[in-house]
Amino acid sequence: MAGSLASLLPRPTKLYDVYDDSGASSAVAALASAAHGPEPPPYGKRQGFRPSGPEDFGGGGAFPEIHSPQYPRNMGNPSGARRGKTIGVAVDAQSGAAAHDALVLRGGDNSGRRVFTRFEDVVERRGGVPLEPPSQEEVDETLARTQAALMAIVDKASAAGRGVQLPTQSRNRHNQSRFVRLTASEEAAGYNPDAKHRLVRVVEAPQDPLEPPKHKHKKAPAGPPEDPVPVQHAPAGKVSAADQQAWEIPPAISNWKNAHGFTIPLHVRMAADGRRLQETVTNERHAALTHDLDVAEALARKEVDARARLQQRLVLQEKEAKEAEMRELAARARLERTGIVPRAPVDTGAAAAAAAAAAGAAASAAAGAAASGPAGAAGAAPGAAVAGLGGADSGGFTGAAGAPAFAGGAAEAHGPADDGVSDRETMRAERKRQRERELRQEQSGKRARGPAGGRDDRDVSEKIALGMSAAPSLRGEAAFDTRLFAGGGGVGSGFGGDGDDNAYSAPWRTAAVSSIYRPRGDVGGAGDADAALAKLKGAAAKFTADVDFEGVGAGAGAGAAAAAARPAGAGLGSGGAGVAAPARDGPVEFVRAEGRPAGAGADGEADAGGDPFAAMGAGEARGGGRGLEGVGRGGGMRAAAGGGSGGGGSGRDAGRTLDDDFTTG
Amino acid sequence: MRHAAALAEAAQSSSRVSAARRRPRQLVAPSWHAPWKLQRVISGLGGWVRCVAVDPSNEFFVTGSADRNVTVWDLATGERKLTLTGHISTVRGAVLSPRHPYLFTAGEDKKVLCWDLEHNKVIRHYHGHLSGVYSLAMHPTLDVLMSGGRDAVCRVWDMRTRSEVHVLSGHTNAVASIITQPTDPQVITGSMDSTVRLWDLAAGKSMGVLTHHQRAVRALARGSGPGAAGSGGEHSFVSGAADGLRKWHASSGQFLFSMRAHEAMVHSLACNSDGVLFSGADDGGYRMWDVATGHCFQAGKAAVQPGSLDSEAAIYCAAFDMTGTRLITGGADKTVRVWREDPSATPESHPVDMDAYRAEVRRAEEAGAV
Repeated sequence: MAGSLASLLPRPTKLYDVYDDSGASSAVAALASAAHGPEPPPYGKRQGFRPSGPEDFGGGGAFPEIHSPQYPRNMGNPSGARRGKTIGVAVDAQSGAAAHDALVLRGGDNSGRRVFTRFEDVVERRGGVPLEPPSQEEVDETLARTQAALMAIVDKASAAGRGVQLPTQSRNRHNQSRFVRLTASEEAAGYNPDAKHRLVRVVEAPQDPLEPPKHKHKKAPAGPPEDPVPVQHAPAGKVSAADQQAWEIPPAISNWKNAHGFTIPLHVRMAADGRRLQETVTNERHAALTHDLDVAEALARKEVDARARLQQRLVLQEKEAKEAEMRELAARARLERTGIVPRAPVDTGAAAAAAAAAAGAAASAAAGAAASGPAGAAGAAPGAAVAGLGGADSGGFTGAAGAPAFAGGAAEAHGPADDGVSDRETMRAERKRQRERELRQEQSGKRARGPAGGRDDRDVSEKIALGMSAAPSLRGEAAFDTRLFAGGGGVGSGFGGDGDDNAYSAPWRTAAVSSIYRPRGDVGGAGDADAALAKLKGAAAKFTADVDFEGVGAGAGAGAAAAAARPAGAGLGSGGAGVAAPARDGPVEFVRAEGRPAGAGADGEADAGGDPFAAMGAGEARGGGRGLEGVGRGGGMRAAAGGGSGGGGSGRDAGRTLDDDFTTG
Repeated sequence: MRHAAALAEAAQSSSRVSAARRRPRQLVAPSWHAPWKLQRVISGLGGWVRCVAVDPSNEFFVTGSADRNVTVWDLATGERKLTLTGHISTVRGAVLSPRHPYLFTAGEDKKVLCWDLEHNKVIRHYHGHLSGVYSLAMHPTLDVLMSGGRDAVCRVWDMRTRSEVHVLSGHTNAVASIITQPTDPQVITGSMDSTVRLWDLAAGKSMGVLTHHQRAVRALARGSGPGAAGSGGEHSFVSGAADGLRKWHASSGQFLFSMRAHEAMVHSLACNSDGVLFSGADDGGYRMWDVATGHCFQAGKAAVQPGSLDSEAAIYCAAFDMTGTRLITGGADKTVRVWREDPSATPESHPVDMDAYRAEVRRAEEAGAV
């Protein structure tokens, strides 16, 4: 029936291509059959088939579905040719020698190969074997032969690849459609005589170009293994116990997974944990080095400490020696003055100058001391002592030497000598005690300081515990300009507008800035009524000097004139400067007076060659505008002087000129 | 009776053996080679350097490393010129074609790629390996490519059509090394099943199996060096395994002699046209041999790059440049090293140690090829 229908239908123009890998497996089978002889009947057609010889197995194994004794490759065949374990010795055809390798070489895969079977093949050959490279002809011949063989394979593969291409779908389907006239058979079921003939249109079915291929890869069975070749190396030696020990790897024991809940001992866990497998070895010389460094540091500290202590002791000795010398000088001067001891030549020049100055000062002070009284002399004594201690250079020494001389003279005039000496001795002792105490404190180190001084090596927590810690002082970035705080307008308020080039947010000393350098008002100017009155009274004319002091310029004169206009002290011999100088609005620039050697004559009147106005002007300049106010208060011209004259007190000014003070500058 | 015959046969063979051992030794003096010095260490790669190939024009060389990159370096300056990314696993093989502007690479990602070095792009994939590819070689005269890998086969690819011409199957473990030569056997593979196989390329069949090695054969080198066919040199090849190096006749596969060297796996072998053979091992040790006589004239152990583990000293690949005066090696410490001959060395300053050579030969012969 089906055959009749196929004959009735027209032949199909298109066929499905169903690809299969059966060709490959058949190729393998053909290969196997070529190697092993005829093929057994295929699977499913083995009814009544009984394999009788090795050729019936096709190189493969036994057929399990055939229930009869089977001996593929004659294995285990009790009646076969290869029954026993011994095999016959083959003999070489030419030499007649036994060929033990005949079994390996004859037939099978190794027949066309070079197989190394003899002992000579494992013996070393150094030299004697020619190793010439192949000739060019051989290379070309091999190339041509191989190329042809490979080309054939590649062509076949590429042709097969072309066949695998997807069938192209015809673009115009209507051109491909065909009409077929069908005539139904009268015997067919459901025959309709009215529709005896049908016209059928055959159209190509649309094809999905992305449809996966319909064929299926089938894994070809692996072919039979190759025939073995003799192994040319010794079997692996037995593993020694040491090797086994070395290769023993303990089983991994997880600290996280323990599905069976075994109790794993701690030492096993520790052994499984790889962290302790590596041992960090530190060189022991590190410890030695650290120890040596510590020792060296301690030694160095000790040396530095000893050196500092020695230095301190030297300084103290020097100080004491100087003090003793000074004391001796003073005592000698006193004795000389009283005439107990005849004048002796003094060995140092400085002592000679000091003695001369002391004599001069005592002579001049004799008249002035009457006004100041004994209280002034007593008050002057400590100041003189302080000045004597502080003066180290010859200039200071000169000035200081004059003061005790003067004080001593005053004390002598008004009181017994023992009284002053004992006072001085007590003071000296007290001062010595104080110095020694200071020295002891310094030597005992920082510990002797009070808690306010603070030990720097204390920890912060210690300080807090001891109550030593105040609020930490702000340093570095923590320090802020407090002027930036509490500004209502924020940052923008401090420095003015953007156009203003203000480096500072607020002026420095807003209150006093107008009165720092400027002379007050127009003192001595045209509008000053006091000045005009004084001029009218002719008081100013008394002090008007026709000599301007050099170096300062015209500006200094105004200040001097102003000073002259005020009531002057009794001891002020002469003063005043040029009245014609214009007003000054800046600090006086002072140039040191020439031609006045330091430590020259102590008396201004005696020093006729010098310029008294220069000294006065300089004193005024140093004091500045405000320094002039102290003139009247002190009752004399007292200008500030450098050095140790701060403790001089008010008793020093009577009857003295300014020269002493300025020589020290 | 049979037993007696066997005994006699054994005695005869043993006399042959002793004759072979007692053969008067006519040792050929090894030719002198200058010792090699490390010239440059190039670091900067992100992984083990697994393969190196030198440009036939001798201008650059190519390394493939475990950071999945193929890097092109300037041979003269050692500067990196290019990094090619395309592999997704360690690059294990690189070959530069002397006849095409192509670079072929293979990696553990089963890929064998063909790069066009004029555009620096992959232009062909050779698809078919079932597992990682461990070695790659190109035929010296034919346009075919050989790749072998963990699927224990060596696949022969037609370069142009990308079709698999042959599957050279027979090894039972990964194919770790491949060399090719213009005459039969045109393909020689070394495998981790500790055998070396010689292949007939036209038929796609094995021509022979060399079973002398006991350990995986991870390195092979042609004894004639990198020169083309007929350029001179020896027609031999050397195979390297953890149990030593062995030299073979390149046509017949006859065993010539063994060189006992490293106590570790030999990963790399390279031979130049002067007959200098380099072998690099897994423990970082390297040796220089006179390939004609098997005399080791230099041995050492290169220090690893600082920061590497002790176990990362292996020398994985080695290649001489086209002139044979530079040796480029790559190792597990992620560096590429360039070596050159010591220019100040003379035969007087570094004489051939004949005593050591004789002792070595005697030891090898007494031990036999075991």
